[in-house]
Amino acid sequence: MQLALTTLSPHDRYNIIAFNSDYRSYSTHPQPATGTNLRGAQAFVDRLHAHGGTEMYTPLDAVLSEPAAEGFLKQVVFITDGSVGNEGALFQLIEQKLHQARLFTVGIGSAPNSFFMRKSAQFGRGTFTHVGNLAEVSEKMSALFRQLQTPRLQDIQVSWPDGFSAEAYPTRSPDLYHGQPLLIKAKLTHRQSAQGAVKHSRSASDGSITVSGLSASGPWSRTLSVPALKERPTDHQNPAGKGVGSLWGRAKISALMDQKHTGVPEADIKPQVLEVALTHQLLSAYTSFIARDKTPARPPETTLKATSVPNLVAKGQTPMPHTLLSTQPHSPAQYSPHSYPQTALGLNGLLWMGTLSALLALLLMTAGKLLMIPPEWFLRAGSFVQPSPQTASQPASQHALQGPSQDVKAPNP
Amino acid sequence: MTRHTHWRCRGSAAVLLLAALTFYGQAGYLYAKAVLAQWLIADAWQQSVLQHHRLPQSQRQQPRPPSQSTRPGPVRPWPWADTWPIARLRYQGEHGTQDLYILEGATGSSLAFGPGHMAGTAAPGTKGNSVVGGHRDTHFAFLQHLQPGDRVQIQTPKGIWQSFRVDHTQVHNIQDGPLWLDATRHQLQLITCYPFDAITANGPLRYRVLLTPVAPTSPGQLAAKQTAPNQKRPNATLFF
Repeated sequence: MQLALTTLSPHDRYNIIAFNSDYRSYSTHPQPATGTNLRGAQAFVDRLHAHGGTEMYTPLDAVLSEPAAEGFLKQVVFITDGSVGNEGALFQLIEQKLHQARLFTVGIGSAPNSFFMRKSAQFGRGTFTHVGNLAEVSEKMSALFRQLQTPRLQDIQVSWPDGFSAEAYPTRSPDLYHGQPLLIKAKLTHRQSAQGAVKHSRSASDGSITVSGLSASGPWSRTLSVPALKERPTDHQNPAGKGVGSLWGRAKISALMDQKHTGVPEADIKPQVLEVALTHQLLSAYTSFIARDKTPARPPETTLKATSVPNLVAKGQTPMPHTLLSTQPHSPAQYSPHSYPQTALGLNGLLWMGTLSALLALLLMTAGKLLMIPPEWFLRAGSFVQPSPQTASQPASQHALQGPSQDVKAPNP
Repeated sequence: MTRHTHWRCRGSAAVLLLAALTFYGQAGYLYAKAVLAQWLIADAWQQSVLQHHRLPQSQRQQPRPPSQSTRPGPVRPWPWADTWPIARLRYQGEHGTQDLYILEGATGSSLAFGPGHMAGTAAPGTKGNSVVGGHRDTHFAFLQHLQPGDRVQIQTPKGIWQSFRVDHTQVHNIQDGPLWLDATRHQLQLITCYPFDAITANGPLRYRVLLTPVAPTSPGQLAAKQTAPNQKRPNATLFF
């Protein structure tokens, strides 16, 4: 907000209206942006605290009703972080009271209804800026204020090539600001095919589109040559034009739906929307897509396979008679499935493991002494460091050798 | 044998001995828990039967599940217990006598202390299809000795004894489907894991003993055991 005030020059006029559940304005009429006034405005902004609800009808009404001073263009920047409910009433208000003013909407955070913000900017011939988080505020806002300052193109008119009748959307081109493209989707119908009377117009068509407008430095215009239009309109579809068709359809549906806010009864809108949506295969308020899997998992001629799920009911859950499961042929409603309890402690396993460990321990303790088996024999499989298996086993083998040799020698002498 | 290897040998032997003690200790703990808890539960059971008979006659008529009863509430065997006895089971056969208290819920926490009545099935001893599960290595080890024709007695919290006869036994694989219960049948099922001497728990096989209620045919024998409903105090809990 402070940023916006600094961008103002003494030739500009401004006013600030703060709103929550109620609203108050900085001054009754827009003030020239002189030094003293600006300081007052800055103090006013500093005192503002965000709280309360979001009642935007009355402040918006007040702002739009205020007539613009002679020679000035009224630009309203509408900033909110609250959600908007009564969109219909607000759209009507904007439509009726906008006149020459421009409405720019800024939504902060995720609460603002971005449909409303975008639409009202469109009705107000301005732009919509969405600020996702507070870190982006200064960046996005300075971009917006740069837009507001920079020279713009007003009253944009598009003249379509001769011999064609155009159905273009948006019907009312928004003003162009710095760095903005002009996007118009139009459906051109060659008059020849529609009306047989204007046959001669075919030769006059040079396939060019002229865009003209009013810039700060006077009238501006540019002519675009579209080669495709020079050719005789043929039955073959331009492959590149397919996507444009959907875009145009979407724009048309959006324009038709907007009529709802200007008092056109829905019964009149619905058939028009339906026609466009069905021709271009688009999603709308009255049409929707249905997904159909083209690859069946099971060939239709094979029968269904039945498999039982073990212990169906979760542990600790109270099993109730399942009406859902009783659709199985062998289970009338009087049958209910139950899961089996876990009914073993595994005491046998524990006792076995205990006995095994005890036996092994006993073996290790007594093996070396009783059986004269070196303990390395047991430990070799493990990760123990083997210092010298030969030296350790030698005494045992020597004993074993000495025994019989003495016996053999005894009778000799 | 060097000094080093000697000590290594002793060390690993000590570790193995410790492991053996842990395994034995664990098994002993589980077994002790299963046996000792039944003593505490016996007390709770006596109390709940007494409690029932202290109730006014009007309230006594309707069978009330312990979880829903407002006035007396379930008698818990110990203050922090999440289960309570709902029936008593007695079996006398050539392989010994069993006197067990059936707890509410066939979850692991109640099965550790006694056989558990499976939630969602009829209470044991009442009319309906009732299922009781128990550990094959503690309380329900005796199921392997049950033969068709054997009798099992069930006492309800009212103190009334109901006799059941073993109809047949069967082994079921839980992977073949859930336990289908016919709500219209009046029977009792005792379920435990199978085989009885398996080393590990969590096997897929279950041993099912299906019992059907026996009408009290021998009034002379049973009347002595059964609690007369109009008596102020039950004598059923005193006859063992």
